[in-house]
Amino acid sequence: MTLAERFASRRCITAQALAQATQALDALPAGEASCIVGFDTDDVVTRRLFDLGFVPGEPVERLRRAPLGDPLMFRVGGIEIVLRRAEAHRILVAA
Amino acid sequence: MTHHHHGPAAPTQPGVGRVALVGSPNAGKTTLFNGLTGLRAKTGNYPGVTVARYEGAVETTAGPVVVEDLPGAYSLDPISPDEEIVAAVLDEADSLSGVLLVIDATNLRRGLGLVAQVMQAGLPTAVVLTFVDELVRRGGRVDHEALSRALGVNVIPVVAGERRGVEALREVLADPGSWDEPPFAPPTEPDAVTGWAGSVLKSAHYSQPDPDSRTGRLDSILLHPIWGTVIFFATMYLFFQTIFVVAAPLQGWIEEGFAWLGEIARTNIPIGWLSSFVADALIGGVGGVLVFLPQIALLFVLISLLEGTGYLSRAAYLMDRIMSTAGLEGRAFVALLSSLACAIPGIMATRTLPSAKDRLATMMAAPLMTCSARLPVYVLLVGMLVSPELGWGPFRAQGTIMFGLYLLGAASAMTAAWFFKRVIGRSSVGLPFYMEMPSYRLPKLKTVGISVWDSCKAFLRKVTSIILLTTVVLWTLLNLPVRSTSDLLEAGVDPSDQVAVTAYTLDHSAAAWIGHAVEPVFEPLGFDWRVNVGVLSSLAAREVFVSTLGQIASASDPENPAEALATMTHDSGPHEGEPVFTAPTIAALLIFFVYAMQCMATLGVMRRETGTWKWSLIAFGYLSVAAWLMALLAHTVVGLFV
Repeated sequence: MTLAERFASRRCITAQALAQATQALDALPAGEASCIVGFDTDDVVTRRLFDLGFVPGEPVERLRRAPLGDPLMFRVGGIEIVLRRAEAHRILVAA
Repeated sequence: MTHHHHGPAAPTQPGVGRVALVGSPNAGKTTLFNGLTGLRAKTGNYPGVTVARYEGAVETTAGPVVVEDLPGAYSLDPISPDEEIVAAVLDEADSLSGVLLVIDATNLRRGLGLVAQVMQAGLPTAVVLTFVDELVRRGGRVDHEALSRALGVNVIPVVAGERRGVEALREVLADPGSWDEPPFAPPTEPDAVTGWAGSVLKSAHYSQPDPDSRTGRLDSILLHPIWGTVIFFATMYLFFQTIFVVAAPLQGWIEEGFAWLGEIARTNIPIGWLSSFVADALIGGVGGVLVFLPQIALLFVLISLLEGTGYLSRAAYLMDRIMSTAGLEGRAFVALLSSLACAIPGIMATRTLPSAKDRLATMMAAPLMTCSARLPVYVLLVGMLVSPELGWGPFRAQGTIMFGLYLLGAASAMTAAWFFKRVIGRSSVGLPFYMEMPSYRLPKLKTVGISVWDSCKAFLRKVTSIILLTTVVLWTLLNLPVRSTSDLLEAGVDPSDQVAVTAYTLDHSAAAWIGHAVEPVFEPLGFDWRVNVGVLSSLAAREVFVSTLGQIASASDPENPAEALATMTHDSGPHEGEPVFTAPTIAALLIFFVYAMQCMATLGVMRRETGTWKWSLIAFGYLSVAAWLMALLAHTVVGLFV
């Protein structure tokens, strides 16, 4: 089994596993912070977002959006990272 | 006994330790690699794939150790070609003596996720903690000895610009065999790895750094909806001003130097054909292309400065929305920006794109960006099309046409990217777009220097191989077959009249025969056989067009080649006696050069980057058809107005 195959079975926390009031990360107003709760579904994209530092339980802050409306810039886990609305929409934060 | 190395990590020298550098992008991996190996690094390619491979020998107390700089990876769960390489190299465990994990101390929590994955490989491992100084400056802290105990492997902190850490690292590198293998494999499942990382951070007395206030202040201006946009365009403007204005005097010196060398060859070599060969083919051919060296060097100085400070990521962020109209992402902007100097670095810059589909679409678009090799062709043709006096106030007609050509190239590139993004396999999953914004930092001069040196070396290799070969072949075609005195007398040419002899040789040369043979193809565009020879020779490299027309023109009038070119007339066919360079023909030529794929080096790089000739052939095919059709359109439209 290759290393990549060994990781393929990893699972991310999804909304079904949670019973908590959430909102999508892209709905977070600029300058506000919240806490990451989970993801909308579990797939290769959300697993990558997890590897990038969008870890449930971590605080996340929306810093700004680009002049043309997209993408959005966030601060999470000590780094500043840019996501498009479509990807940010898949991350759930506490409402 | 023979060894078969299947994986990508075949050792270069047997018996020498081999260590892989693994880390996420922006973790300071390349700076560390340059610090360890300096200019002794070798660049190569992984077999079958499109990712460049860097390795270099590091001198240690126990002899040399080969260090391989693996591409940046956020995870060993690969989603980009770069990350696939990292996973594959670590899978091929027996070819490595150890793994050096490069982790950014300011972002240790995420770094531990990668540590957990790499430790699964079970290789002797050591961790290099970078940006420890920045962590402390921003109010965070870490006890690297406690971290080492918690992880069960050696942890070496390094501080940028300080030799101490690198020297300590060199000592550690001396014997990878003695490194600790991870005592246990940490979990990689999300919940479990989060808990594990939390406990490791706690034992290492880690406290997260405050947000970088300097970066925050700079970003509030540089990414401001209005000021940020203004500064972005001002930066791009200065970028091109520098490339074209600062390079101009340097290019002038190179031109003069080669003209002087050519004169020496012409006056000192008594044999007529040999002096022409040395002066025109060798010195003229190489010199005509070497003039681009200052521009290419400057472009790389500027790009690596912008990259080193962290602004290039911001530019990609600002441009992402615009790039998304073509189905691409912000990072593709950087690739297309580099293509304005040369499509080769542009195509190589597509490596940062995680999506294979985006990479191919960007590669197909890159040759349409106006590269610096088109510049001398445009300068020559625009100069023949309109006079420098024409214009309104500060807007000169020549400059406006040049600007229009750049714009047409960029718009065509975006259209091509959009098209290819749509036709290339729909099956692949939509990959997420993400881009880390590094803190603003002072660029490392050594990194800038190495990047400039590497690209200049690649360019010089192109000049001394492809371009030199083409000019020599061209010179031969233009001057063969050699005419004997009896041939000349038979044709009614006075053998003592040097000008008449060269003109006759040219008109009956092998090149002329080829130029005439392709006339049916280019006749609708208004090209005559001499232009055809120029266009065909420029298939090797665009800038050759200028030197070819130069060779042809100086054959007809060595005293005043520029005049000879402007007044050149069709010497056969239905337009006999009419001037060749009419407005519609010049317009058609200009538009032809906007689209045509006239660069063997670019096709070669596409082959190298995609691993197959398929995409080189597709690019050559679609761009040739586009060039012909658009040139015909230009010829027809301009023909309506004159």
